[in-house]
Amino acid sequence: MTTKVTLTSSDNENFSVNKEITKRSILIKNMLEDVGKSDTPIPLPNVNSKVLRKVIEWCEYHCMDPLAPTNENTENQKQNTDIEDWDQKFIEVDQETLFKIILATNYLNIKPLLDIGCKTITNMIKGKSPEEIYKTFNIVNNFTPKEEAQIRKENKWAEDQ
Amino acid sequence: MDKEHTPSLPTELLVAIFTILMPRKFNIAQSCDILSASLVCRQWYTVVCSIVDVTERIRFLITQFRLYNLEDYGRLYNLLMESHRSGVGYERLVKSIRIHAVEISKLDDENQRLCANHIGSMIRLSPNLTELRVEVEKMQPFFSVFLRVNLSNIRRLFIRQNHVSLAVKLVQSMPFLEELDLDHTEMTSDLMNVLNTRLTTLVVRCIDLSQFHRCLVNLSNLRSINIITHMVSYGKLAEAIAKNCPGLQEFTYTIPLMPVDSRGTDSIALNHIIDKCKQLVKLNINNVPRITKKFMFYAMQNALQLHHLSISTTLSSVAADLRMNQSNLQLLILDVGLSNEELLHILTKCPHLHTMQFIQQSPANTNILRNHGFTQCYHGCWKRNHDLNWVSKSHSIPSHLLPK
Repeated sequence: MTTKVTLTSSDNENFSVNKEITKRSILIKNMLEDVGKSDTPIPLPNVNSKVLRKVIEWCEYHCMDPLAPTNENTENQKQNTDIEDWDQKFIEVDQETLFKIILATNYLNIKPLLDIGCKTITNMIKGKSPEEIYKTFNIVNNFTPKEEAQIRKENKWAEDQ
Repeated sequence: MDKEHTPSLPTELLVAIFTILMPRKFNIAQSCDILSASLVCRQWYTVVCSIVDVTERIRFLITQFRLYNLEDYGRLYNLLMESHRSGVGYERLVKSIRIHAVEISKLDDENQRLCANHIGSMIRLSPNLTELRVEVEKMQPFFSVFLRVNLSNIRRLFIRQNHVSLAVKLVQSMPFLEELDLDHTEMTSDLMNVLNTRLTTLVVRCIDLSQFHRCLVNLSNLRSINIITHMVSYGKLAEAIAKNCPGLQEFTYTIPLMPVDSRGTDSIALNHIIDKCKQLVKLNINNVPRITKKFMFYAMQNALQLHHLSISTTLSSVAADLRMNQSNLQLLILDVGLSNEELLHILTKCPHLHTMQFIQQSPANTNILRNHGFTQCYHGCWKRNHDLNWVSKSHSIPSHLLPK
């Protein structure tokens, strides 16, 4: 019989998940090892139910993947911004959810999903002007005159070279 | 229900994202991407600067890439413009721009003009730009626009390829030019006429320089001349340099391949430069025929400021007249066998000599070098030890030159 673990989101929704699947998250895996046998739900105060549902969906799909990629693979992944078809469809969410998935996977320590999130952001930056980028991500361009002066000062040495 | 705001990403995640964005090797599009990211906001700028040398990236983008296309030029200009607008000031880091004619000449007329516009705009935008590297080719549409740009800030110009009339127009548009490097550009009278007295450094790679001596009258401020030519007869040129460039500090004369026909002026013509150019610090003579050992010793003897002497040519084997006084020489590169007596004489008379390089023929008796404190670094290259123990073994070093 498969062992289940209960995860509790920040908005107090409980998710009963196969224990092996939750081990995709290094954070939960370590928690389970520390706690030992216990039926107590694991609280995840940094992840809301909507995002947690998405993360569990990803973990279930990738449950057969090898747990720890080798360093070589990690290097290749860094160079390659391609995302597999299923993951690409999975990550096609609104920007707010995308950012929350990235923050959640960073917190839960699920590196492959974090890589997918980061690559998605990278692909959104590629080929864009600064203006297009800050419009895309709804970022305020906050270069103030004071900061401009500071940056100029920092770059002064390079001008003098 | 309140709409939640998009959360901002913490620095550690921005580092991860920009690391993916950043190419392992330099690449135009990706370098533009990372620079673009740095101009988004203060946080992104700080994170990008922590993982990328932005200055190096910009300089590399502008001066090194060969495969520019119109979009790249346009994007680069827009980035500089944006950094100017936001006050980050990347445009102030641009010191040099390289114009790749080979790539631009593939564009149609309209795009060549657009390209010239982008480059012209970058030049206007960059207050510290002083250097242009241009491959001049027949690109009339490009240059018809480009030559309207104000180039009076340019101090150094490198011209490649042979299109003299455009080279003339470029030089003419730079009244404050100080350094000119002409590669495979025919030295016509038109070009010589526009060279002005502000020039301090001149590099000429040209097959025929038979009339070049005429323009030296206008180049009295030259400090450095580097000539690479097939012209074997250098008598008039040497005389003109000696007469017109009294402040010359560096002189290099190179014939790429040792000529078969070695008729012509004797190396005595070069003596004029030694005699008149009293500031001469560096002298390189490569593959020039009829250079004699006598000339080598004459240079050591009479060019009082000479620190660097390199003679890579087959010297006449006639023994030199060894009546040399003290020399300030520090570096000597030779392609000639020295007798023990000659070597000893040089070592004795050049107490500041710290490097000797023998291109083909090492001296027969290397113990002389060892006894004067030299050790061999690699084949043919000898350097003097810093501890100056050699001094005690030397016979005739004047007391005022010994370490106190």
